[in-house]
Amino acid sequence: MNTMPEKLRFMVAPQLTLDLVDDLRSADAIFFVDATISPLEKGWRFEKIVAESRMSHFQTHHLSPAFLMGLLETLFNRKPMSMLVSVQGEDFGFDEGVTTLARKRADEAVSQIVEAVLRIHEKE
Amino acid sequence: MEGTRKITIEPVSRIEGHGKITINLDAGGEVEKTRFHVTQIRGFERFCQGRPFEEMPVITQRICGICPVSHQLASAKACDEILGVRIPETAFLLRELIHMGQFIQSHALHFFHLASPDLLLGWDEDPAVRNVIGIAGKFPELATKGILLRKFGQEIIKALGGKKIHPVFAVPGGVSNSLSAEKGSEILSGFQHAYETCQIALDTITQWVEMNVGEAEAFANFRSNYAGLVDEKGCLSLYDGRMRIVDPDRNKLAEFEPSDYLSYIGEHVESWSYLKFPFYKAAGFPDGAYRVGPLGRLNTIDAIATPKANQAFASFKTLIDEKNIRGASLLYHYARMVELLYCLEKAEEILKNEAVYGRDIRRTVVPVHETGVGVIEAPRGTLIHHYEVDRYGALKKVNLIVATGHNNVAMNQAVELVAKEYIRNGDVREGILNRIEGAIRCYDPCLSCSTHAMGQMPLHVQVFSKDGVLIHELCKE
Repeated sequence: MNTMPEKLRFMVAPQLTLDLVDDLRSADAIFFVDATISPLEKGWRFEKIVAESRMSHFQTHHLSPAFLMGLLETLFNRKPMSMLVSVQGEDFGFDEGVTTLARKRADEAVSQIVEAVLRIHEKE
Repeated sequence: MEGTRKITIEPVSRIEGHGKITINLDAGGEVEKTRFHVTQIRGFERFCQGRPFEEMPVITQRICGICPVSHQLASAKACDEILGVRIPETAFLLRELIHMGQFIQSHALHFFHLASPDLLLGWDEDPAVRNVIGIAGKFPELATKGILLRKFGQEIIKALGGKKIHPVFAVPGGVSNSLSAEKGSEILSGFQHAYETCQIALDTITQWVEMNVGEAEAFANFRSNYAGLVDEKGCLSLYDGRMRIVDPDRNKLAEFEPSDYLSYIGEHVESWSYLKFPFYKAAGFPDGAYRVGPLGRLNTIDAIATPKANQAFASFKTLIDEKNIRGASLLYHYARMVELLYCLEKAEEILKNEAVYGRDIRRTVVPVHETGVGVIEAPRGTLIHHYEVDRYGALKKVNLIVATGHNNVAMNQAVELVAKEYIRNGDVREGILNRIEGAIRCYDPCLSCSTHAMGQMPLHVQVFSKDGVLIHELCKE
């Protein structure tokens, strides 16, 4: 049975902030996972992140994964594989927990992430 | 009018929140009128009505993702007053410590990543490069150190409140968690690097000011009143103290208990902004307008109680008095770094005090007052939370005067002065527009934090035809 690599690390961040580049600088692969209101064919989507090397506006409340990857490359010359994983949400009203449908989509997305992580781990 | 032009800068970049600047040029291309519009509205003052007051430290910290700790602390202080309690010494120290963490992360973020592109790359640099990535490319060591210093402040917040943003920590009557000696010692190990980085920043900004005195003099340099909290010796006080207002020559106009703020501070409203204009009542509006935040505080205080920062403060004061640039907006960047040094010293001092590791952290009592006012110095200036509750503890009235609001007159004045200084004969290059944005940036405004009232908000709607002619105008006072 495949096991997850020991150096796998989970982080929870309510916002993407500049100081995260220090936490990400030693990573070989990074998966940014977030909910989306956009309708998605499978209910989830993987997109390769293209690092931003130029930008005209910088708002500290709105750092994007592409911006962080650009900063990682500029500061530390690191270009880890990075993916944005979007999971379509159903109900964003005041409540706790997630809907059954959103849970199913999240579970599927997590399975895909696990497979991807194991593939990367096997190559090492 | 024929030949007139209206220039709009939207969004204003490298600030917290969203705003826009409009500049009206006359037929000769000279600046006629400028305005800094705050276009967001948050409405916390209204929708918190009816909530139990105990919830406010958790609710109001959601006002902002950069300074949630400031709101939580001001709110908890207002709630302490409603409870009628003096919080335990350990709780006081812990609140002060998390406050220092907040200042460290916020001031580091602003200096290294929002202000430094203008100062180190230049006002006229390509805007695609004139940002944090540009700084990272040209000054990677400085950018990295700045990021790590900000992280240091965030880690202090996390050690106390469980997470870096929106921590759960200050509660009515005290705090929710104690600090272990082990955790304290872990934080203490990071001070050496933090001091080194702070010193680099102080040296950088001091040299910049010395080499650019002419620019500091010409760039939004104006006389104003100043305000901030001071301790019983007149020293810089960020968590507690009396509120002091001074005139442009630093003569004391008033000093009062923050709970008496309504006797001294009024709020003016204009039709073109959601952000109100606080002023010193005795002088009226607009003469009673004052500046808060780093420059406001350093122009208000007599001294700083920690040794290194007091030395930096003395150098700061000597320089700005000798060069007669006491009111220069660009000095906010310098003052901010003096404060950063103070916050590091203060945080270290607290962590070396055994009392901070105590377990007596909260008083729980039945509320005895129907009013509570909590005032602290947030990174951007004086922050006031004022609550009134009914006999069941439900909020009847909420008044929030947020740091950025106090600086509203000053920011508008700064925009106008810079526009008039640099725009000539209708020549409006990108670098000039950046200077105008830079005038706002000096104040590090947090626009998301500062617009709260609902119901009676003024509204100004202008309808233009497709060729730019104003065809309809609606104005609600």
